[in-house]
Amino acid sequence: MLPDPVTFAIPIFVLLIILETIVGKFRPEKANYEVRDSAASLAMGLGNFVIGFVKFGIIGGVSLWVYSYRLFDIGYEWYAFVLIFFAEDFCYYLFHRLSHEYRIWWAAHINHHSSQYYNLSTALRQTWSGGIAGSWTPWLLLSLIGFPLPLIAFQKGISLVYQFWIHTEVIDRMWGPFEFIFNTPSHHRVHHATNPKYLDANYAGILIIWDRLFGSFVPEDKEEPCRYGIVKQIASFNPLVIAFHEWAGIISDVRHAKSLKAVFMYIFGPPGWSEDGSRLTSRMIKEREAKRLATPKAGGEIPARSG
Amino acid sequence: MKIDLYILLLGAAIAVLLLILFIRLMTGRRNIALDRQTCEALLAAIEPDLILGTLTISHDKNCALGIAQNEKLLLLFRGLGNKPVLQTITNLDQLHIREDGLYIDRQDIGHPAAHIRTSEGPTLKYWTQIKQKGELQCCQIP
Repeated sequence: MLPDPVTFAIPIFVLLIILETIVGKFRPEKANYEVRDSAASLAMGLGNFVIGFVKFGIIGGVSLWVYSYRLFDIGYEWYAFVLIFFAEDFCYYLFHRLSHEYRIWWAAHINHHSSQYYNLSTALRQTWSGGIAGSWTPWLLLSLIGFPLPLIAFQKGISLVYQFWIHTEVIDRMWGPFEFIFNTPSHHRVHHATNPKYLDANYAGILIIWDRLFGSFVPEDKEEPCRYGIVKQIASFNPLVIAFHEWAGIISDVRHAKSLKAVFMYIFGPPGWSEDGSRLTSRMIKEREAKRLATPKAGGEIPARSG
Repeated sequence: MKIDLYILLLGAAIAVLLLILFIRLMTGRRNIALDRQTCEALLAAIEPDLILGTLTISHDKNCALGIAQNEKLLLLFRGLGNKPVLQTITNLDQLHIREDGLYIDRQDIGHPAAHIRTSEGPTLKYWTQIKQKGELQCCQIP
């Protein structure tokens, strides 16, 4: 039986949040905490923790069923731990990228991005509806390959623990080679930013190499500070609103859709898609920004970037 | 070591409450005071093509309603902690003018109704005119 890294890490999570709050007391530009925002994030984390017990039984059952059709018998040899490290991290990249590109999974993931603050408590703003949305399915690939379920659960825990510490502004850029290979606070700040140039970038879990390989890597630009949150920022600290507002949006859009194609696109299309074009997808926002920057202001001056 | 589920969940809930209390003690409540400069900076960041025209800020400086000079849009600014949030509204029917200020209807579950408290006669008169004309146009509040 492998240990659950998350259970062991919880006291460290608490300690680090306490430390970061103290840093924020004296250096608010480095760690901006707001009690209602943090309370919402912690409530989301607690809810996710509780839901996890129910969810694990169902997902575990499906994983075991897929495992019965496995391609290889990998077992618990030493190399299994090396292989699962890379394979699980790739599955995380896949899950994360799809969660930003398709609205039904975005509805389950948006809560993690809904805070305008970026601190360690934001890391705990976890989903309540990922189980229903089915955003756990990429990990079934690992069962199909032949990784045992406890090994997958163990590595998922390691990944979650790793991703906690990168939700901070206290740490600036790190050592170059480390920044090249691993996901760091700098890379993940970009991921949480809504500035057009930073949208839909840096999906990595532990290794940033996936983003470099698949063209979704964007480095942090000191000239353009990250603006955190979501494009259509919600105005609420209520955990229920945070958890379900995008689902409510989907239901409302589907009810008002004028065609079957629109119904499909409101559920499975990119976030921001709308029938009348009144809303913008990430791609449209990026294109608009590129066009704006390419248009010289009167007098031939290039306009300054937003942010 | 095996921990009973109910003890684990109760422990986690207590830890969360204590952590919230600690953050409250360390940071207090942080509320932004909206002013024209803050609203313009947010607009420039999110909608750089829009220019802020008329702006009415509520007495508590937590809410403000403006009109975009170059587009027929209402711009609703709110404070959420010490961060501002912007909403664009195209439908004037969602604006209501009463003696104690301006009301904007709830947009969706993530954007509740807003109340811009103001009792300044000229300001209310200006918004009443806008509402009566049924057209968003920017001009100086007398």
